[in-house]
Amino acid sequence: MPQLTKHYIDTGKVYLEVYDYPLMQIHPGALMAAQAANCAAERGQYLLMRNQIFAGAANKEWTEGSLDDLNTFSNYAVAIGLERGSFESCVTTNRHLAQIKADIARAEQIGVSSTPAFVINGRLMLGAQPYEEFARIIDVMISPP
Amino acid sequence: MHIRHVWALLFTLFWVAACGLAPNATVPLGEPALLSGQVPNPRAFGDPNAPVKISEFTDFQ
Repeated sequence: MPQLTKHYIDTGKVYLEVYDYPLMQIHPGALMAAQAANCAAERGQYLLMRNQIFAGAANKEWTEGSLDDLNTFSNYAVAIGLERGSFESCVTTNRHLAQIKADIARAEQIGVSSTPAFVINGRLMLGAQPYEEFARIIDVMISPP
Repeated sequence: MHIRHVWALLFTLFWVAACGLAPNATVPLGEPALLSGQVPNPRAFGDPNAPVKISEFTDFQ
């Protein structure tokens, strides 16, 4: 994402919107992770929390959405400058569950069945892609041959 | 301010508060608007008028 941001988002060529599609049957902690990310988003800290959550997932710092995982997400929140109490209240009261459900409905309507998934100017692309693939597709869309 | 106006104001304030606090109120207090509907969208980045629009769907795991 840093390269995409630098070359395409910050230059006004790309507008990126992020949606949640927690695969709860195989990733039991994904719903709480989405809640945590959205609770940070309402405070303008979505990207920082997203980075923390992804790094934490890679390091197995959280897994199943347990109370321990809530504490881990709260530690992330505090690390990026959020207040622990209000953050935990946001997560535990499912403050953004309606948003997540709306995201899931949108994903299923489009045909998303796995993550990550991307829709680029209406074209669905499933699976993680290298930056070069994004750049190739975007460049074609900006300047068709 | 006339006493009737004071009572009218107090009644209005009470009514508004009661509607908001009622269990069946249609818009519960503290219910957030969808993030995706906010302007600016806190989960979106870049110029909304950019020629290329990307939607990313993630589950963090």
